[in-house]
Amino acid sequence: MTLDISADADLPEFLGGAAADSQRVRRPTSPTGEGRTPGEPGLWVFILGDMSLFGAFFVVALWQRRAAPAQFEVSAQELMRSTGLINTAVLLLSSYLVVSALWAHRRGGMRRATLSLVGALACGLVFAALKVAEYLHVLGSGRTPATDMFYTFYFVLTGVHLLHVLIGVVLLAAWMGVLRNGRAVTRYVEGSAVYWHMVDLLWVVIFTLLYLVCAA
Amino acid sequence: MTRGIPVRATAVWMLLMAATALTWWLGADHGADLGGGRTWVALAIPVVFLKVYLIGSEFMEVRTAPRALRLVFGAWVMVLTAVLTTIYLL
Repeated sequence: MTLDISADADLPEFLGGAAADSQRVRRPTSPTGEGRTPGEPGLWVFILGDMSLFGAFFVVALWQRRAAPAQFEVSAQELMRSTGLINTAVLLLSSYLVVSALWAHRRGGMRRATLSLVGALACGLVFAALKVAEYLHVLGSGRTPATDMFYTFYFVLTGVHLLHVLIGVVLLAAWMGVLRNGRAVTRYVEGSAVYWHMVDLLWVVIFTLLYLVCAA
Repeated sequence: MTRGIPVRATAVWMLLMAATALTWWLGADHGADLGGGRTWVALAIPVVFLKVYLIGSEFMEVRTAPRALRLVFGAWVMVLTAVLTTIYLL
């Protein structure tokens, strides 16, 4: 049996495969009627599963806080809250830029969409850089995941989230490839946007719980 | 180049930024200063999940998605808001 590696059509579009016209999608319709799923329907299984996993972590973190609220408060107050706030604003801005990019892409505004995506990517990288700076600060002050329960949650939640940010950056970069090829909005493009918004959505909760609620 | 802006999304984004400022204010000691103490801080949880709902329904386009997806997403938001606020106030 031979393996036909020339069949680009089998590859996803962002890896150079042929654009599947059947996957081209229209703008969403009104809230009435059947509605349409943005991105691949299967992607939503992953998105909702991921959100539920994070949700379980949030519940466990606040539950553990009840056992040692004073310790959580002291540890949470050591975090650089202003960095967390800036990162929240940066991710919210990136989400808005991704919305703008999809809006422009659907109207054929490839240049406008590309510019918006460049902005969103830059926001993603700024977020990652600030997070690394924060890690260096926290680790430099002698705090590790083993310091106490708060720092265990801090490193696990922000670490897994940072991994999501980096995956999102790759997805957005691949979307730029779709734009460069002058292709219309596909389910892959919509899925990338949905994924990026999930990254934003999870961060606003992580920021509020770890940096504000635990510290109060 | 495409002209105009996505008006609805722009309004939602401004609301999200305003809600961020509110949660920051509630969390950064002012909540406790209002006299209600933990109750005001706990208010940050429903406020943040309102943001989450807006990001989902407007930016992730859940608002125009099939009913099943709208229900599951709405349930995720409501259950977590209720559970987390309750645990915090217990």
